Amino acid sequence: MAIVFGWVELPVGRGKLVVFSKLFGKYRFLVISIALFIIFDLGVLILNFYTSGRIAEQTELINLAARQSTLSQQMSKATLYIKSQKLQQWVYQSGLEELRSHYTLFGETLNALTHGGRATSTETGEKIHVDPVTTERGRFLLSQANQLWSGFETAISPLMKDTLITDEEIKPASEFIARNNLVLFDLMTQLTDHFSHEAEAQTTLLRRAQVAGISLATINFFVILFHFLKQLRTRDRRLELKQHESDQLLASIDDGVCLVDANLRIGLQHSGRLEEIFGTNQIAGRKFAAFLNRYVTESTARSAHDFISLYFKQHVSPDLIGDLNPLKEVKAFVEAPSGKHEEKFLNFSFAPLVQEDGETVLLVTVQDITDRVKLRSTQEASETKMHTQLALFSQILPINPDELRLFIDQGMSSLAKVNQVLKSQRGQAQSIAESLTQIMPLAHRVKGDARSIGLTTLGEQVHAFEEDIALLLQRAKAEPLSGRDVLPLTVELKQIIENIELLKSLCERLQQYGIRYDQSVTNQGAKALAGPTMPPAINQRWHGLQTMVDEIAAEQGVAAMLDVRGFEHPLPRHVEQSLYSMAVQLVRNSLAHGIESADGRRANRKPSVGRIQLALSDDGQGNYRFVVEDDGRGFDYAAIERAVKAQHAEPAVDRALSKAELLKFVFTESFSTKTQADATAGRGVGLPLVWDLAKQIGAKVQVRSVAKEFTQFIFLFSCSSQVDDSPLNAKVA
Amino acid sequence: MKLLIVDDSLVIRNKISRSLLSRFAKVERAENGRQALESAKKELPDLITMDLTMPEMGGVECIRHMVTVAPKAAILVVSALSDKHTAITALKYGANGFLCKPFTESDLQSAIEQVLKVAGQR
Repeated sequence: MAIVFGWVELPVGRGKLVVFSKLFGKYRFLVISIALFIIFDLGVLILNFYTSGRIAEQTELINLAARQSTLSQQMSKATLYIKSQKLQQWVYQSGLEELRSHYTLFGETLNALTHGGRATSTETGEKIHVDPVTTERGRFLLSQANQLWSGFETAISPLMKDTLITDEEIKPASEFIARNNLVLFDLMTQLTDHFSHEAEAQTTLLRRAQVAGISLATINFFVILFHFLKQLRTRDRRLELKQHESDQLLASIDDGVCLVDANLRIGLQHSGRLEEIFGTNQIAGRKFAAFLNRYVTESTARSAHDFISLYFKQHVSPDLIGDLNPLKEVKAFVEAPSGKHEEKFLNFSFAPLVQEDGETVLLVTVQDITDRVKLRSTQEASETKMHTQLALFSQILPINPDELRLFIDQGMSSLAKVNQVLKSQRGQAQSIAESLTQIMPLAHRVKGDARSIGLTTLGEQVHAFEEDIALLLQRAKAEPLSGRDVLPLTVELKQIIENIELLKSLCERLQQYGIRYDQSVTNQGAKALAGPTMPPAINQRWHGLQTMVDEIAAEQGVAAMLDVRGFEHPLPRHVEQSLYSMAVQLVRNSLAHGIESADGRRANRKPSVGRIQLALSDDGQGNYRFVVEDDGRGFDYAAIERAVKAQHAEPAVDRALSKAELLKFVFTESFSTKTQADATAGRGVGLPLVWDLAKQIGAKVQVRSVAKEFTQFIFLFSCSSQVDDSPLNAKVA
Repeated sequence: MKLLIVDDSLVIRNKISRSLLSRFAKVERAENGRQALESAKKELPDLITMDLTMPEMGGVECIRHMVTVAPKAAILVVSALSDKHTAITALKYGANGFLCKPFTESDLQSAIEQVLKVAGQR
């Protein structure tokens, strides 16, 4: 692979090619400008270096030429000295040695300047190399000097011998030197001046080159500067335009749109609709999960955090995780401008986008689907309501009107209490949990009573309500509840109350139209073993329980017959209603826990159909004995003890518990030996409810039970007796 | 290519096996996470379909170990939507994709293409 980099072809690998062409493509101008800058600077530096060398050489030449001038004078002076000394017959040897030294030095230097070669440095006295002078003027002056110097050589050479010098030898030499000395001096002075001019020219050239180089570099700098300023301006204009366009685009989008980066932080830009949906403009730059936490439950926000982080994991296929989106049709509570929390349904969708730099960001689209969801739920609610009304209508026809009215009054009273409790909770976690515990038995009673007279649809509705209470109580153990969590319960309660009101109005209308539907009632209670002297209305009401027994027995996979005895004399209404509700709960318990399957009963040598007896008797003095008894498996005290110990960690139960203690747990706490609650039993609400009802009529409670044989609840009460707060006088068999 | 089907339901194991038999040279089956790990140690499968709720060892726990036992295997979680959070956890621990029960044969084929693709890019 190769890439043409300007005019240079560089061999590079594929990866390097991309990087190179990227750099060169985008920053081409910058790279060229910097290269030029370096070239200019380098050119000036090289020229500077070269010229400095030349100037140094030129300085040496100036010095050599100047020394030649001096030498010419000194040779003349030495000759005259020898001549004068000789005339007076004095010693002239020192003058002769001086002349010889000057003569040799001059000749060597002149030869070096003319032909190139070695000369003695003026500064150090060492031998240096001198290039021959090449300038025209220099050559001319040197040629003149050489011509003259040949005369000097002829004249002075006789004086160079070691023997004594004669007057005939000294005279022509001194005369020649005297005649030509000034000419030679002048030639050497001119040579010095010439070299000085040359050096000056070099210096001027260097200065000009430096000025030119720096000027070019400066121009280059300003060209780069202006170019980048222009580019910045263009880019700024484009960015402003882009910003404007994206603002307009984001403002016009109908959905909430934003980006989330790999740190799960919301990007700086988002659509205007997003602010409208969440009622805030404090969105940009926030952590997605922390932002969401204000609007949805903590667990949903946590799931959402884990879910969107999957989009940034390379090993996960983004196309295969959409089904796990926890923010699909999510319920959110958004603070309205009024300060109230408004319920919204939002739909979040996510799409990963890979950016130019290879980083992934997540495009988040948020739609407010509240209207769609509400419309759908209104349609569903309306359909359910219609089905419920039809079911209620068909279910009330076989019910005795007195029984129905009794149920309606009792039910409305219980639900009013539930409503009151829910309204009075103060929004604090503890208060909410207490309220839920308080309303649970009330709902349970309504459910039991409804099912006991055949109002199965209403029973199911109250069961669903009870299930939701149980779920909240379960959650309350793990996290504190808020007022928001209880809101769905109030909606459910409203629907139940509406349905009971509907029952009331249906009942009234049927009577208004003169339909004596109660006369035609021949319900399945006829199967019950009714006492012959029982008054018809009461007889029918207690007979109705057989229907409930059949339904629950079928659900539990057992068979049982109800045996109703007594009830000859009418009781005060509230007492009769309490006994009835107690009977409902105890019969349900018998079917869920007591009566065995047909196989189990046969194995215990019992008839395959179980028997549950409800008996009421009195002594004629107002003292009553109400007995509920089944021939089932009896209390499993071992299982009760295991369940008690599993639910209580405190040391108080860390010992063998007596049967009376175990019964106290069973009657007073939300307690069940069933591991899974169903519509019949398992919440541990039934027996505490019986306890409360017994307390209300001032009854003493006795319990007898023999394993594999029977369980018997006996309630002793007097119609005129006062309410006693501790009715349990448990006698355990 | 080798396939390991991990599900406690015989019906699901048979369904996946029937759909993918032509594509894989060898198909192994496991009823729980423990069996799956033993099989994966011996066979080093290329693809694992993993249920989440199983006796003895569930899918999430199995995936945690599977990424070291068979690091090159692509893992497709095949489960109901009842517990989204468990499925998200399974993906965090190393599964490559999620397919919701019930599914059609074409859903399964397309999901397998996807997980093999992302697992190949690791």
